Amino acid sequence: MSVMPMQRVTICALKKNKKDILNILQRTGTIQINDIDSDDSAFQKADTSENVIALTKKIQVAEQALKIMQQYQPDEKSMFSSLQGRTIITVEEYQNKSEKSDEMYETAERTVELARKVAECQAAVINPQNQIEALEPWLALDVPLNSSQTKSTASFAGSLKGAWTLNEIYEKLAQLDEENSFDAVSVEIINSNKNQTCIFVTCSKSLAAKIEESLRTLGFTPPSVTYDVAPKHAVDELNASIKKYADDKLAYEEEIKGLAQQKESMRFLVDFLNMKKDECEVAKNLIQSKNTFYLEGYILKEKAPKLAKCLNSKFDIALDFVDSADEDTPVALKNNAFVSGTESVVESYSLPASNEPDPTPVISIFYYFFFGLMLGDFVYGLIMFLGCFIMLRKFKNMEPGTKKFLRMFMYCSISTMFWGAMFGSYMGDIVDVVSANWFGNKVTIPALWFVPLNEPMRMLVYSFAFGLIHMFVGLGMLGYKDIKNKQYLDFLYDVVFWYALLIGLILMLLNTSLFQSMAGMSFTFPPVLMTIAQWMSIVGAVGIILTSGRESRGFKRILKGLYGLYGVSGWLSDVLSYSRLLALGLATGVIASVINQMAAMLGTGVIGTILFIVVLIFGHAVNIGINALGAYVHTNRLQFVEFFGKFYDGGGKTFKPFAANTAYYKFKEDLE
Amino acid sequence: MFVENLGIVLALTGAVLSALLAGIGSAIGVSRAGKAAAGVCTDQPEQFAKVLILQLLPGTQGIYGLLVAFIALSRIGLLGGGEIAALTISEGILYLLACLPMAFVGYFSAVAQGNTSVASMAIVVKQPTQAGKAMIFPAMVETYAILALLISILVVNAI
Repeated sequence: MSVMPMQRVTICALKKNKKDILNILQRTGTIQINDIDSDDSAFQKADTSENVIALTKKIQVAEQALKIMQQYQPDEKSMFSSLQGRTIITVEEYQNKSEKSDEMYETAERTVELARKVAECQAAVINPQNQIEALEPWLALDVPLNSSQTKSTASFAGSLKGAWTLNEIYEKLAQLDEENSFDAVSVEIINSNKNQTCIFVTCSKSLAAKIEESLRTLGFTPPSVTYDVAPKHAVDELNASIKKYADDKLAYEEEIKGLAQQKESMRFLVDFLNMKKDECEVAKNLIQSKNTFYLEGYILKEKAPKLAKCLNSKFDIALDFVDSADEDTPVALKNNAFVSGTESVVESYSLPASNEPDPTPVISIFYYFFFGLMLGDFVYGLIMFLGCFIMLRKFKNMEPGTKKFLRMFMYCSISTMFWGAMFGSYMGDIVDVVSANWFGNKVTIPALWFVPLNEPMRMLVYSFAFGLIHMFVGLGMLGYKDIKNKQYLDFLYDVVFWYALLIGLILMLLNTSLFQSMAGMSFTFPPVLMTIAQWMSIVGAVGIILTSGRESRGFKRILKGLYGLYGVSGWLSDVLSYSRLLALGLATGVIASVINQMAAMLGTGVIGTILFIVVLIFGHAVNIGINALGAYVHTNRLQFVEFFGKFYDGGGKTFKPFAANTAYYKFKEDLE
Repeated sequence: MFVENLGIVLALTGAVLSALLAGIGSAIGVSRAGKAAAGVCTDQPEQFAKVLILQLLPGTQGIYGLLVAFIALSRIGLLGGGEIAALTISEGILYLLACLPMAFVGYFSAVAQGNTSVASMAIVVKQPTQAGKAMIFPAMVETYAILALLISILVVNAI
């Protein structure tokens, strides 16, 4: 239950075994390999950047191929597929499969190429399709569109804007005919609609240019497409080419579908290549001579003997382990099942430094406690508990991170059930509503403690009290840290004085009539206790003024001391911050009651009852979602700001062992 | 007639303002965050769950506003079909005042929280592993909405 002890490890071995050793280290994921600087003439770093670049390209191809395969043969994904975790693979299976990696890569390349061809086919049909559209009005014409001519006649095609009749065209032509020479003209309307009129003009050769010019003044334009064959034939040709592209596309797609059967091996390939790339990247960090190589790194102390045994039995190798706890040492946490759920909370703030105690055990207790208080409903807790519990039982193979997260919510939900029963909240007031409306006899499950909505001030006082306990524990953690580091004076200055001041002040506040009337309580302390309280706060305050500026000298020291005393205001605002325990708890209960009431308004008939249930399911699902999110976020805040602010430095580096960072497969290999 | 009912009118105004302003604020905040979330998802659809949570954060003020409105209405007796309590003008003013913290703090904090959520999305994009921290910044803004909620509830209950 703490920060795991680490050791520094150095390995020196023969170069011919380098690959095998690195592979074992990668599969077992035991060592974080450090970058070594080498000025030595005998030992040089290997430059693997070219390999890395080549592998990165290959990974892109494989990932692309996998994506394409998934398009053609989608996975049957269930809602919970992300919980299933990676497939387990043995070392033998891995080696068998990796021998076929070249073949797999060819498949990947082929898949990508086929997909490119499919895209090309899709693009290639667009042009012929546009041309067919442009030719459509001309289908009735049985000569080619680019004007043909005989010995003495010329003919040309084109379109006029708008709808025209033959007579109108002849009339206009006659008007434009200045020399009265347009006698040998024949105009044929091929197609006409309200936007355009397609015409075919035949005339004697000598007139052709003149007539065309005249027509242009009427808005005549030649066709946008020209063909040496009649439009109908042109369309047939175009259709044939479209069909060919479509057939090709179909064939390519069929081939991809066939290849998509190998989706699993494509997944393996992606993992395999990624592992290779990681290996090359790590190989940059170690140094080598002609026949040997040398690497440095960190290992969990408990794994060191096993690794030594495993490597010594297989290779000629020199291993050395030294305990390490300096600030460069990476940090890994290990806790029992109850506590480890909240490791992610600590991680998302900052890991403890390697010489700092792990705050997770303390965090976990308060985390579950506050989360339950904020959500505070028995049925909601039960639903969450069952959900988490069933998923944890059903998906044994899920990734450790997901497992911890679900486990955290499972313990949170137990606390939610507890507080729900304490406050008498069962889906808000569902029991009251159902019993009053359907059975005509209002039944209320009594709260084991009290109902916060009826006595908000009482709940507020308890919220502050829980907050004070939380922060006093935080201050205690600071004391624990000081004592562990043998800084006894710091312990007196930063912890004991503050405890004295705060406890004294609180006792005096409790005795005031203002507080008692607000909280609705009434008690008096014996005068002796009040005198003690006064002296405690005076000693604490003077101590803080004298010591909190202790790294400065003279007048500045006193100023800093006064500023330190001003920290009391920080404590005040921190305590007030715990009022969210009340507010969020009320929010859950009241919204649940609103949902119940709205649902009950639908009446108690058969349809009303069905609608009642539908509204309940939908409404409460939304309420659980929103309030669980609120409870999660605000519990985090209470830990990060109010609690960690008292003692926690963090800043530890995560232990990132050189491991198989795969997406689809994981190894079942442990050091024996 | 109007003067007789002025108490209840004022109380109702308070309840409505609380739901109204806090709701508008949340709608603005959620829509701003939603636009940013949509932008994130065009490029990194796998971040959907994280940005959705960030988008939801400014939505709580609307719920708090509803909550205060609901508590006020049930205290006045407008909910549940019972008899409407006769309120004096000064009682009406008290209800109105009680709802104001939630109405105003709700509105402004929701808009501000929306902006903070948008900024936090950049963390999710650039440092997906730090999403836990990204959630804390908008939650800081919400503190003040919670304080306003608290004071509104306490005052309404005390009238």
